[in-house]
Amino acid sequence: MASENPVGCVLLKEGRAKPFPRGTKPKALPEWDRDRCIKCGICYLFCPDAAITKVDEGYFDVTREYCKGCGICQQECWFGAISMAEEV
Amino acid sequence: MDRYTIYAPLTLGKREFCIPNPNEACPGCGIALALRHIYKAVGLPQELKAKWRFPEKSKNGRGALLTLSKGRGGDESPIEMLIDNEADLALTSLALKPEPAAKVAEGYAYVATACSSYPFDLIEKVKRAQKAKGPAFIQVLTPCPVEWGFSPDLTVKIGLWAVESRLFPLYDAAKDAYRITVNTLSPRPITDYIKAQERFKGLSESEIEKLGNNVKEAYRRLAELSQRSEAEVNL
Repeated sequence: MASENPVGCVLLKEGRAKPFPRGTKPKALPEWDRDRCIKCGICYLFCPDAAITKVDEGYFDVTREYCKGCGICQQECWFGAISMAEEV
Repeated sequence: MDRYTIYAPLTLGKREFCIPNPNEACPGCGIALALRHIYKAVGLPQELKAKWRFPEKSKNGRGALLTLSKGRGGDESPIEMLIDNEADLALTSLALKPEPAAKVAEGYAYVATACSSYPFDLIEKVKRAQKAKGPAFIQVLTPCPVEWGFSPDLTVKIGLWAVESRLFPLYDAAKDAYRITVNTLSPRPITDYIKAQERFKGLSESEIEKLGNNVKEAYRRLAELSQRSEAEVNL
C-alpha cells in the first residue's frame, strides 16, 4: 500500500494519466436538471479539471474534452440537480 | 430560491489558469483542485505558462513542494507550499503534522494549513502569504482517490471530513500567534473518515481509538495556542 509506493500519486512525467480511464463510471458526464438548479456555482467551484463553465442564463454546463467523469459535481450539488449520464 | 442571485462561488475570478489539456491528473484529483485555486489566487508563474504541470516531489519528505514567488507588490522571499497527499506517510503518525510547527520554529513569517475542500480558505491564505513580510509556508491537504482508496467523487467530502474530525485542523500562524480559521464546534467522529478509505483497512479498533486520542490531544494543544494568541494575528 502507501509505503510500497515512494512517489505516491504525484505523477512526474506528462502523459502518465493516459492509462487511467476517464472515471469509475466510464464516459459518464454530468447533466443538469434546470428545474432544480439554483445557479449557485458549487459544481463550478469544486471541478478539479475546470471543465464546468457558465452558459446562458447563468446555468452551468460541462466541457466534454476536459471532463473525466469523476462525479464530484454530482456529489456536491445541494439540490440534486446533477446526474451522471452515459455519453451517447 | 429565485430571490438570491449572488452566490459565493460566483465571486471567484473567472480566469482559469490551469485548463489541463495534456492533463496528468487522475479523475477526482485533489491536487488538481488545489492547484486550480492556488493559481487563481496568485496567477500562473511565468515558467509554467507553456504547460500545466504538477509540482515536483520534494526531496526530503512526503508530498510535492511548490515554490511560488509573491508577485507584484510582494517582497523577494518565496511562498513554499507542501502539496500533501500523505503518499508515503506512516499511518500511526497521521494525527501529528510536524511541518507547520517546524516552520514556525524556523522563523517563517506566515505559516498555514489549508485543504482543497475549503477553496476560499485556501485562496485567503495564499493572499495572506503574499502580503507577509518574509518567507511563507502553506501545507495543503489534497485527498488522492487512487492512493487512499476511495471513489473519485468523494474527494471533496473526504477533505471535509478530515477537517471536521479535527484530524487536519485548518489554522494559520504568524510569529507564534496561532489562529484556527475553520472552527469545528461539534467534531465528526474520526471513524467516518477512517472507514471511507481503503488505506486504513489494516487498522484495528484499538489503533483507531489511539489515533482518536492523539487527534484530541493535538487539537487541544492547538486550541490552547490559539486562545493564548488569537488577538495577535494581524496580517
